[in-house]
Amino acid sequence: MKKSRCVIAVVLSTLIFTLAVPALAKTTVSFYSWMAAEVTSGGISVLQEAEKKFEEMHPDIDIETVPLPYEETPDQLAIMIAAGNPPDITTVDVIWLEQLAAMGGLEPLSGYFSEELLKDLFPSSVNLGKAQGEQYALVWNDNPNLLCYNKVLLEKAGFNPDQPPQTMEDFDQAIAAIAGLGDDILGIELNMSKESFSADYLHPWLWNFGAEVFDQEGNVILNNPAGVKTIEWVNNLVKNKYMDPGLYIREIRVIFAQEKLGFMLEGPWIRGILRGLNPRQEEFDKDWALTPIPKGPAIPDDVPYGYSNPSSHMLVLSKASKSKEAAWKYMEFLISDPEITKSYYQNTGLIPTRISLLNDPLYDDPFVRQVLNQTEYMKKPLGWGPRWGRVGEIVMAAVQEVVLMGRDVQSALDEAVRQIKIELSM
Amino acid sequence: MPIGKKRSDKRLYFLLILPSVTILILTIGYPLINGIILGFHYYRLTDPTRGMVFNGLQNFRMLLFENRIFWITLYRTFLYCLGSTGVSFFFGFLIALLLYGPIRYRGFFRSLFLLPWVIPSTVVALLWLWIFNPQYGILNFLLKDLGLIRQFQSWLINPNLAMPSVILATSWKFFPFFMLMLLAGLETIPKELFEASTIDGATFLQRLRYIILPSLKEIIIIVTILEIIWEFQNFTIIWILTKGGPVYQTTTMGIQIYRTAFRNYDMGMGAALGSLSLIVMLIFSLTYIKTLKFGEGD
Repeated sequence: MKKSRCVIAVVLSTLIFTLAVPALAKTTVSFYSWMAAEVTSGGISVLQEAEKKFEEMHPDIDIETVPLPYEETPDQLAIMIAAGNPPDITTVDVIWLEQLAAMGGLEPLSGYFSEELLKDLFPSSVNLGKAQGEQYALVWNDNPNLLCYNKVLLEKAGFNPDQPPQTMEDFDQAIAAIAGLGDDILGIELNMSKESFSADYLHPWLWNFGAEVFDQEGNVILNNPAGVKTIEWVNNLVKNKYMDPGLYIREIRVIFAQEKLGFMLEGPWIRGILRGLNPRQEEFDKDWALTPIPKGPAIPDDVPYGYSNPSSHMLVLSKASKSKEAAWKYMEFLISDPEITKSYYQNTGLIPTRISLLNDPLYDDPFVRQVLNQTEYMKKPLGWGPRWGRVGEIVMAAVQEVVLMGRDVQSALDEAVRQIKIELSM
Repeated sequence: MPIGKKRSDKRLYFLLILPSVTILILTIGYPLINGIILGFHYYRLTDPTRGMVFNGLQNFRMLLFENRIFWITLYRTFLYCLGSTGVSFFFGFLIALLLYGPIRYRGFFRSLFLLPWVIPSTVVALLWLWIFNPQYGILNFLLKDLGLIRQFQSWLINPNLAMPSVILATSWKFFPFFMLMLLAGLETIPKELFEASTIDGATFLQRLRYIILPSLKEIIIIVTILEIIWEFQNFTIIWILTKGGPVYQTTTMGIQIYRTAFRNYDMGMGAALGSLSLIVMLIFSLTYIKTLKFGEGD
């Protein structure tokens, strides 16, 4: 009798324990982000702070932040989606969204957006998160690319550092004047690598001259006179030694931080990066500024600046995620928590997307104003789509042939258009 | 020997190699055949609704007749393989000859020269990335101080310098392999041959031509072909240094396969490119096997 009681007690306690464990177990949400990987960006400590605060608010959720370098994010995420084990949340650049959405591994988010959240976001931010006609991303930071310039060099070159160039003519003069300051000083740097994101960065200049890779009907028109004019402008920068086409994006940032470069195209994230690269850290902030893209001849009269291409940081939720509700809570927390978004802005320069947060006096400064000014004149390149990666590579290979190998602009662009057509016919 | 004994021996041999063959089939055979089959399909990760569709020879037709990139890539691959094998061989042979001579601290130098081969390819590539840096790379400072260049060069972006730079980095990594093999070969040459040639008054070049090279002929053929096969597959060093650029100057087969499959998510085309690459590799391998004359050993 005693023995059977013991057996019953053991069975009961085992059952209670087995039933209790799942109740006590936490929901784990994996979050992959390059902002957790880049030491110079200033985001690592803020994400640690965010993770800690969120876990305190939600003791049943365990956030697992995993650093994933920017360059590797699209490939790794594509592979993880194909393999069926993607992270719950991933930070993506808007430039990859179409391709990733086309793979079918992202969770449509329309059902997750509350009325209150939708009202608190700029419609353009919501639209940027759409791909293939569906809402696939929540914009974390709405980032246009702006002209980042060195105020000291601009002043030395004889210009007012608080009135940076606003037209392409003024811009050309300022580039030449800065490059003339010394043999080791460059006027401008544009990213000339063969990667498709370099083709994204080419767009503000294409638009300034009235060019596009594709027209509204999807025809490839890069080799039209406007396209030729744009690439000739880029080629002249190299020919006149205002620009070194051999520098990659990270090297460009380094020479800017060394105060040897006049202009480069960057988004608001550059503040955290430059503080990390220049030994004067925050002190260096006063020597450079962001300004909207100078207006080119093809920009309509009622538009005050050149158009910018978006490089917005977004949060996507994987369709295969087993903790979608918990993951969405963290996504919403990251873009909404006033303290975390403030800290994120102060460390990285990245501005929150929620309109209500921008009312804080912290955001009432020229840096934020310039970013918001340009955000209003930001547009998606017409060529963005699932095949943009390869198209962008072909475009940049043609640009490289011109600037590095001296190929005639028209013939290089004709060949690029032919290659793009072959590529799209497959 | 009785026939029954022979049969049971054969069965035993078969059983002994069965585990290795099974592992080989699973790890190499299956993915290889799967890859070849994939080459005959339209399969893009960005087009999951269409999925994997058989399209016959369409991918191969596109690569061989319509897309110039395949031929550029093939040419660049040969250039890279021959260049890096040639340079590695030259320095490997030179150092092997130096270390074969009566020098002090031979063991120390042998270990020192072996270092690049031990260092992982990623580290080697990052090391050379710094050496070639157009702003602060040591190569520019060194050559400028020596008066060999007037201004700093963009080694990895200049279309004329990118391939030689990548070849140099690769050769630095692989010359110890040649050094080691050729040194081992040199050790097998009978000392009497050298003594006799010294008595006959042969110069170093005569010794090299009539004794060393003929004695090392077999080893040289084997290691160079082996090296060409390895270089054909090399990806890490080129990817880290140039990602195949500028334009297509350093785009080898491995780089283009990666770009097609994992950057542009075109698995079918990437697999077709891989199959063509396999054919080229097979030609090399067959040459290799023929050179070794497998099955004719005594």
